[in-house]
Amino acid sequence: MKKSFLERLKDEILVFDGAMGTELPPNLGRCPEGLNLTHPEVVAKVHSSYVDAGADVITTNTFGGNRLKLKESGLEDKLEEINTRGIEIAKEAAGDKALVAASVGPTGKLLEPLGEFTFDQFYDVYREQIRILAQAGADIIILETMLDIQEVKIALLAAKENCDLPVISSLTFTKEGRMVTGSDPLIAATILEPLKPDLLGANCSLGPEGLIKVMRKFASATDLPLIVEPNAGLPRMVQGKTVYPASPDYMARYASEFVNLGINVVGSCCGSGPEHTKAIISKVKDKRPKKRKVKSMTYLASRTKIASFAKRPVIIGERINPTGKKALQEELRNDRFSLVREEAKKQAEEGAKVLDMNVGGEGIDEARTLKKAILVIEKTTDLSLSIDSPNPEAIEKALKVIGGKALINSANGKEESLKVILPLAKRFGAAIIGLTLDEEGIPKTAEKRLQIAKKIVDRAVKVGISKENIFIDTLTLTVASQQEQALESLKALKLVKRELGVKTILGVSNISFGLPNRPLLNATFYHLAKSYGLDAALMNPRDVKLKGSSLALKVLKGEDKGAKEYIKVQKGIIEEEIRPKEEADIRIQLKEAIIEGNKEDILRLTEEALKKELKPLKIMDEILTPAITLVGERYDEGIYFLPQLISSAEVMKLACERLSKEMKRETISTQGRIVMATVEGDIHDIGKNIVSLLLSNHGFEVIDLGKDVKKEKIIQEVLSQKADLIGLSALMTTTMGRMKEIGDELKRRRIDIPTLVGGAVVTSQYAKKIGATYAEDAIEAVKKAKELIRARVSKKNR
Amino acid sequence: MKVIENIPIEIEKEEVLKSLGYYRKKKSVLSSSIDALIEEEMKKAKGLIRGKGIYVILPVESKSKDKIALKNITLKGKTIAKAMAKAEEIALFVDTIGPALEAEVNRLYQKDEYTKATILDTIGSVAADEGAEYLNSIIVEKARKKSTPRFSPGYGNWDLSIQKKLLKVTQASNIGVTCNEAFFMIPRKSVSAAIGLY
Repeated sequence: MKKSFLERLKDEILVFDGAMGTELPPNLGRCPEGLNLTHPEVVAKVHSSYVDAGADVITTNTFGGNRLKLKESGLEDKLEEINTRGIEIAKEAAGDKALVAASVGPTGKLLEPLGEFTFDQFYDVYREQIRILAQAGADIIILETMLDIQEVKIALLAAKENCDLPVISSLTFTKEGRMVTGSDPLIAATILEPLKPDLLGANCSLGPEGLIKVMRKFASATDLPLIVEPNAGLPRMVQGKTVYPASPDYMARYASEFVNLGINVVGSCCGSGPEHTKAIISKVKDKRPKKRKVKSMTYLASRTKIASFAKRPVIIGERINPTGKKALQEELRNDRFSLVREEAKKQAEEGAKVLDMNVGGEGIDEARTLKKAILVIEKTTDLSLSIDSPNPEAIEKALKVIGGKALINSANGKEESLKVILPLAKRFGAAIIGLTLDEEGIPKTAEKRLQIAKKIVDRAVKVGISKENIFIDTLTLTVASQQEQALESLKALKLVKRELGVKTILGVSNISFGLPNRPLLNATFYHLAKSYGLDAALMNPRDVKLKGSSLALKVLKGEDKGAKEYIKVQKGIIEEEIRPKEEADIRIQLKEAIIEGNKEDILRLTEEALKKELKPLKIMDEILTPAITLVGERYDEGIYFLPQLISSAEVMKLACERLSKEMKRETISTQGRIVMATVEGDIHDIGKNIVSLLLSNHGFEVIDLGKDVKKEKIIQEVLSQKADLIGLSALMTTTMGRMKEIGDELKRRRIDIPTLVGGAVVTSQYAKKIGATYAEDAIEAVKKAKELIRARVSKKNR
Repeated sequence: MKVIENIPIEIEKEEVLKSLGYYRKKKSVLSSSIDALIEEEMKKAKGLIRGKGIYVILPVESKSKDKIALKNITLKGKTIAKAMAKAEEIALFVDTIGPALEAEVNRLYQKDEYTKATILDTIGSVAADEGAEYLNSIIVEKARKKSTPRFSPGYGNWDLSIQKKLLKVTQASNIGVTCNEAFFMIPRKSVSAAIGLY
């Protein structure tokens, strides 16, 4: 009896075949998988060439054999045949010399929130193909060239749940060492490991040299066996043909390096052929798999960011929770999420590494709302998420849309909870919080809480959740009613860590419920719990920052000798409080409103600033102008794009209009008066409108004459308004000539005024030719307008 | 002359982002509020867009280095002549998304809703372009011939002044498209172009 694939991995380096797609003749049709039916002999020939080269495993021609992909070539009706034949052809070529890995590639479509497809739709697509492949007699399932981590997750689940074969998850990485949707190897391993793939690795991507870094990261991130199948370098076009630069020798040298890193399976991908396979075999077959010992760590992750618990305690932001927040309740009931977004952003800025998501409340359809809120949050922040719900349906729906590895908050020692919640965590690869309470309520003593914790951990391990993915919450009770319980929770926490070796978490803010100055108690309890070994704190991240609370504890524990640190910091705090704090706040908020283009709050904030007796001019010069200047800089750097620039300018305009009501006309310091127009015949004025808006933001008085404006009208306005500058825009070559006509007319009538021009076809050369100044965009227009008017003033003064 | 009523127009968000300068330098930050505005205006645009197209296919009567003569119209300029060098026939077409979207854009500007106006205007441009793409594919498909890339007045040195004639020959007034003295098409969100068939 042959040893199984997984058995052999223990003491052998195995070699997979090379490419299929690029080995097939290019003239046989657009869909390579279709060849399984129309030209089986061609496919068989490629397989045989790899078997002859000595490959241990050959990969079937079924990469694009899923329903969504086949539909693109109108072959979805032949799905079963194509996949079954794909296996049969490979098995026949393999004989008993090689194993057959059934290739399963991506759907080519995107999941929500990036695209339109849902978890369930993708799951069905993968299940259909994988069942057929397994039934037809594949030895291994290989999910390859995967681009998005969430899609891999679904494919992997579909594979593990619908066949008994070993499953390989092989991903593709870009130049930056990340998957197309942003996950790096550590994130990928973190998200996939709990779903128990048999092998993990990378294929295609960057050529062998590019994948070295990626595989090194995999090797330090997971102790699963690893596979790598690089393409033969990045393809180049040479005389109209696609050429892959890596020679068999080159590829083989890297193969050997991969094995030294601890990789177990080496193959190759696009652009490689049997010679590559032969060369790889010659370099690696005498080697033995290197043992890797990877310390098991606790991580959560979003698609693009890892949350490590190595540095504890990690703050889990608790503020997305409608309990006691009327405005948030109202929003959620109406399917609106701007407060959710705001809270997410704020908590991220204040140091939360994970966001707790709780949307339960009266009149809210929890399952639906939670899903929507998550889709919004995933676009707003890159933090990991904790799903805070007792409702299994809501939890499941949430887990289906979360791209990363989430935390479930929570299960507890009750039988019904263990039965339902633990399997959900296992299935979707989430970490879990276990509350130390059961059918009899919350035990009074630390020892009893430890017992429940042990029960939860045992049961979780039993369903297949590994220990590093379990957090135990020894429960914070409020000191206002049960004062002695605070220390009991902490005692239990210490016991749990020591006896069970799992992570701990506390809902810190519960401690202060019903008492005044809650942040002070919360912060103090946080620091106390930290000293007991707390790993994660569910709380308002702002409370942690309460200055001095950690130092106060250090004074009490004798760690701050002579209370020196404490004295220094407290002095600072007192000085800060002397400054009118509220005024500082309104300044920041007003500035932020401009920077973020927050139209809803701008008028309220402007009113408040006026009420704080800030002078209108001061608001303008010290708050608004620096803010819009910063927006301009961000636009220049490409951090902001056009709509952000405009929305900030739009908000600024509202504030300016409000302020100007407070100012007497003579006290308004204007930068200068500008007549703006889009020239005659030209009816496109978007660009000009934006320039006008920005100019008025920067203190210019803008007289906008609109579009399709006759020369005579422009000149008449310039004279009657005593303008300092003319701004002209033209979109097309046919209307650009009008600019020159206006310039000529000004010259003829000896009107001395600078002209600023812009628009799609206008260039700086043209501007120079007609004696005008060119501005490329609105931001540059502001700069140039300032320069021109300054020059004009100094000329006049001379 | 053929009129296509109801051109199906699917607006690709990616294209809208691109046109708004999202990739201008590096990938910009897409804030959730702007993202929501774009989604909202895209939804609104769906109700405002009425894609229509019209085209004629004319045999090439003679061609030289700097012009191509068709019945009733001569396409002048080296770039257009070069672009159409292979053509046996030339399809001239016009598509529009109609006047409703730009009326809404103007209304938004008047209400100082600059951001929404700019986004909706950009969506209109993308839509007109996608309409042109669709019309192009229909023409090529029906002709069962190979085709050159699409070429519009104003590209290269193909003078814009051809616009008036092109609209006349295609009888674009049947789908409500005319142009002003400066050869701006009205409604603005319209595309006119030539495709060579061979």
